[in-house]
Amino acid sequence: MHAVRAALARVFAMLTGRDRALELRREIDSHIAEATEDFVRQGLSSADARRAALVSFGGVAQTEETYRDGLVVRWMDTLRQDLRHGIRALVRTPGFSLVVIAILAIGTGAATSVFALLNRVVLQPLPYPNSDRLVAIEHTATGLKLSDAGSSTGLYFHYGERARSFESMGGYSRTTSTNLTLPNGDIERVQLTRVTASLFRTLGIAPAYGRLFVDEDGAPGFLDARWAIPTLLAHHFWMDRFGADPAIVGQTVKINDSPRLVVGVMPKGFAFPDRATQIWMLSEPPRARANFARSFDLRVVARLRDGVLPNSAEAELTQLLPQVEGVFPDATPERITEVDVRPKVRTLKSVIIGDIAGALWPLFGGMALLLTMACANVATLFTARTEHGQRETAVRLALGARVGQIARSSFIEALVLTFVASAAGLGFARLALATAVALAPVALPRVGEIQLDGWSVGLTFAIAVLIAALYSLLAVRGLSRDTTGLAVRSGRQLTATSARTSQRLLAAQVSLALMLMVLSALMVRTYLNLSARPLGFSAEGLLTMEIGLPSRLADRHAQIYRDVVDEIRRVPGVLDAGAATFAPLAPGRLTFPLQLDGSTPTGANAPGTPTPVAFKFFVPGYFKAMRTPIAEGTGLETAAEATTAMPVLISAPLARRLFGRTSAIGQSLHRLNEDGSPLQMGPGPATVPPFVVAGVVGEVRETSLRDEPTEMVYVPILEPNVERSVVPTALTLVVRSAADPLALTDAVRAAVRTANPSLSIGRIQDMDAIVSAARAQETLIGGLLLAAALVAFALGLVGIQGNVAQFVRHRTQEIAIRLALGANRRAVIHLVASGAVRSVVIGSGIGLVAAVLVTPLLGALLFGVAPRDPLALTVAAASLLTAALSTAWLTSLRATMVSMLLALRGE
Amino acid sequence: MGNRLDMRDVLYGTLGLMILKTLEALGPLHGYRIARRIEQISGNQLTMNQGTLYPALLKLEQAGWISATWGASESGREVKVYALTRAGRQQLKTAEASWQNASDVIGRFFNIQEGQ
Repeated sequence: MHAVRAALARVFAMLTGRDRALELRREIDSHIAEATEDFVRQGLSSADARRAALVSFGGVAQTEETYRDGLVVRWMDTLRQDLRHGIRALVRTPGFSLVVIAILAIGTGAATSVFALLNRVVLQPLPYPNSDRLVAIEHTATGLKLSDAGSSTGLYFHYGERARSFESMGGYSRTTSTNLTLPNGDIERVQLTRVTASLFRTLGIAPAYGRLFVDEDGAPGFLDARWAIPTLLAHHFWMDRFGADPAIVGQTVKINDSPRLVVGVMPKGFAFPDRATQIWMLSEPPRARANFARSFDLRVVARLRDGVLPNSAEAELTQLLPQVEGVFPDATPERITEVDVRPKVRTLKSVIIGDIAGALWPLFGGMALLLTMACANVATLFTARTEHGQRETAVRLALGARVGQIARSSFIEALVLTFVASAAGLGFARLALATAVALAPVALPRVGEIQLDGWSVGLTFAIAVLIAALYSLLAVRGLSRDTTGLAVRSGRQLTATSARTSQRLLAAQVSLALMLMVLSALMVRTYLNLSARPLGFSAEGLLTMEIGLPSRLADRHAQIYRDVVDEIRRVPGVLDAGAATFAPLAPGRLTFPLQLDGSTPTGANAPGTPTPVAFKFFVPGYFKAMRTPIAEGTGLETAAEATTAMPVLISAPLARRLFGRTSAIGQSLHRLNEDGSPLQMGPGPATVPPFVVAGVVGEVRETSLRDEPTEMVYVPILEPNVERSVVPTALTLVVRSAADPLALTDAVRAAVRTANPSLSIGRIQDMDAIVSAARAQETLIGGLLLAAALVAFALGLVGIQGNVAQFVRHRTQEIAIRLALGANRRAVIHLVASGAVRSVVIGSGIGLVAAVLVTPLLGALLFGVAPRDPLALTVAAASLLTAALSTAWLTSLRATMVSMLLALRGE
Repeated sequence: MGNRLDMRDVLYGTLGLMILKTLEALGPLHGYRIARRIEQISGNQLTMNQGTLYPALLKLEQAGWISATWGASESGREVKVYALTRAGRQQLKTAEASWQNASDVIGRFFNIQEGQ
C-alpha cells in the first residue's frame, strides 16, 4: 500500500512543481547552523565548530543526491528506459508493428468516427443552456389529417397565457427563400426564418454582436413609417457577405425591397432550426387576428419550468385545450370536435434529431464489434510475440528483473504501439468524418456540430491504454505460471479449450466479414446502377445559380429573364445559357400540377378526366444549354421558333401516354379545373386557350435518379405569356462552360447585375454537385458499409494468420518430427491449415445465412438489385473464400518452414 | 508487495523506526534535533552521518507516516518540523511489535548458544 502512496506522492510533487531540492538545501543550512551553535556552546571556536558540524553531517552533496533519487529521478529514469525499449522494439520488428498499428488504427478509427457521429448528433445535449428543459409543442389534428404539425396562432397564445409548465415560449415558421439587398446594393437570394421575439430568449442564446429581439420590437410600431422590422444575421452569412464587419449592426438592409434593421449577429455555430437559415426576421403573430385552427404552421419551442417533465406539460396542455372554446372566433364547439386536435410535447432534441438515432446505434454497435475483433486479433499477435520473446524475458528475469518490472516495460512497449495506432486512427476518423459530413444528406440533423471532440479523442486513447494493459496482463500471466528458467518451455501444450475459442473467434470474424461484404456489394451495385442512369442532360461543365425577381417587376419578368440569359451568353468562356424554374434533381422545388384534358386519340383517359401533370417554366435556350435532346419538333431555343400561339414542350413519357404512336406535334392540351370543368379566364365565360405542343423533349430525370423520366409540361417564358396564372419569381440559371464551371461564378454574377441590378443571386452550385447530392444517401451508407467490410475482411485474414501461427507454435516439435521422418510436406501444410480452413468454411456458411437474413433490411435503399442478388452473394463469398484459403495455405507453408528451423535449432 | 526488502530498505527501515519512535516520544522536532536525539539515546555509540537522516525523512513523509511543516527552532532559525501522523503511529505500533518479536527470537538463539 505505502509503495503506491509513495509513488503517488512523487508524481504529485513532480506535478505541483514544488522545488524539494531547494527546500532540502535550506534545511541542511539550518541543520549545520544549529550543530555549529552546539559545538560553540561546548567551547569550540566558531571556525572549528563549523568544521565539526560539517564532519558530523557527512557529505552534503551525497545527501542531496540520495534525496533527489528518492524524489523523482529513479522513477523517470525507469520510464525513459521502458520508453526507449518500447520504441526500439517497435523499430526492430517493423512488419509486426506496421500490421498491429494498421489493424488498431483502422479499428479505432472506424469506431471513433461513428462514435463521434453518434455522440455529437444523438448523445450530446443541444448547444443551449439547460437544453434538457427545451421542448417542442406539436399537434396532431385528426380532422385535418395532420400529424407532427406545429401550432395555430390561437393555441400559441392560449398556452402562453395559461400554461404553468413553461418558463417561456417562442415560435418560428418554415424557412423561406427571399431577396435581400445588402448595404452596398448587391442583392442576394437568402434563406430567411421568421421568429417571435421570445424564441431566442427561450433558447437562452446570446448574440455575438448587437442585441436580440425584444418585446418592444413587436410593439404596434407598424403605424410608424420610420419603423423597420429588426433582423438578426447568422454568423457564417455575416462572415461571407458582410466581411465580418461588426459595424453592420444598426444598419439597414432591404428584404423584398422593404427596409429592415440589422440589430445583431448570432454567435458562431448557432443554427436554428438548421444550417440553411442565413437571416432571422422578427414576426409576431397578431393577437387580434389569432385563430384556433386555420393553419398549424407555427413551430413552437418552450422552456419547461425546473422540475417539470414533458409528459406533465403535455397533460396540462391537453387539459387546457377545451378551454379554447370562444377565445378565438373559429373556436366553436363544432369546429373543435371536427378538427380533433391533440397537443404533443416532446424534448426539442428528440424532435430535431428525429429517427437518425435508430440508424446510428446499430452502426456504432457494428463498429464496436469490429474494434473488439481487431483487439482480439492484436492480442493473438502479441501473445505470439510474447512467447517468441520469452528467451529475452527469461534472461532478464535471471538477471534479477522482477515480474512487476517486466509487466511495466511490456505495458509501456505496447502503449507505444497503441498510441501510434490511436494517433493514426484519429487521423483516419477525421478524414472519415469530413467525408461523411460532405456526403451527409441535407436532412442530417446537427451536421454542423459534428466534430472530433474531447470525448472521441479520450475514447480513442482510453482504448489504447486498455489494449496495452490487456497485452501486459497476457505477458505477465504467462510469467507467473512458470518459474524463471522454464519460461521458454511454457504453454507448449495447446489446450483443447483455447484452440476451440480461437477457432470460434475466427469463424465469427469470417461470418461478419462475409455479411458486411454482401451488404456492401449490394450497395456498390446500387451506387453503380444509379450512376449509370441516363440523366437526359449533361452534368459536366454546368453552373447553376438561383436568381430572384422583386415582385414589383413581375409584369416585366419575361423581358428581364431573357436579358439576363442574353447577357450571360456574352460572358467569355460561356458556351450556352438558359434558365428554368428548377434544375433537374435539385430538391425542394415543387410546382402545382396543371390539369390537362386527357381525351386523346388513343383514349388513354376518359374525356373530361383531369390528369395532373407537373410543369416547369424555361427561358428559350435551356434545352440546348442542358444538352437535352429534342425527340420531335422544336426545342424553342429562340423565341422565333414559336410558330403557333400558346406553344409548349412536353416530355416524351407524357407524349407517349397521351398520344401513343401518333405525333404529338400540333396537338392541343385543354386546361381543366380539378373537377374536370374547363378552366375559365377570369370571371367571364371564356375558357383558357389550350396549349399547343411544339416539341417533345427527350427523357429527363427531373425528380430523382430512381424515378422513371418524369411526365412534364415545359412552359416557355415568352411574350405574350403562355401561362398567366403564375409568374415565376425565381429561376435557376444553367450556364455551360468549356472548363471548370465554378470559375465562371464571378463573371456570371456580374452579367446578372449588368442585365438587371434588382435581381437577387444565391445557391451557386455546379450540376455535378446536384447529381452527387441526389445519390448522397446511397453513397454515404454504401461507403460506410464498404469501409466496414474491408476492415472486417482484413481482420479476417489477420485472424487466419494468427490461428495458424498459434497452431504451429504449439506443435512445432510434432511438425518437425513429422518432417524429419519424411512426411509429405503438403500433408503437413494441410494439417497446419486444417483448423483455419474449417473455421473459414463454417464462418462463410454462417455469414451467407446471416447475409440472406439481413439484406432485406436494406430493401428501400437498394436500386436495380434484389436484396438476395445471387451475383453479390457469389462474388462476396468467392472473393472471401479465395483470399481466406490462400492466406491459410501461404501462412501454413511459411510457418512450416520456419517452425522446422526453430525446432532444429531450439530443442 | 513490500515483503522483499533490499539492504537499503532494511537500513532505512531501522533508521525510520528510530525516527518514528523519537517523534512519538518527544513530539514534533526538526532534523538536527532528531539526529542529536538518536545519537544521545544510543549513548553516543551510534555515530551516524547526520546527512543520511534526510532521505529517510523523505521516505517516511512519502509513505504518509510523518508530516513536515516549516517552523522555527529554539534559536529562532527557520527549520522544517516533522511530526508523527496517525498512520505513522499505527505503523510504529506494528513495527515495534514485530521488532520485539524478532529481537526475542534472536535473543533466544544467543541464549541457547550460551547454555550449551
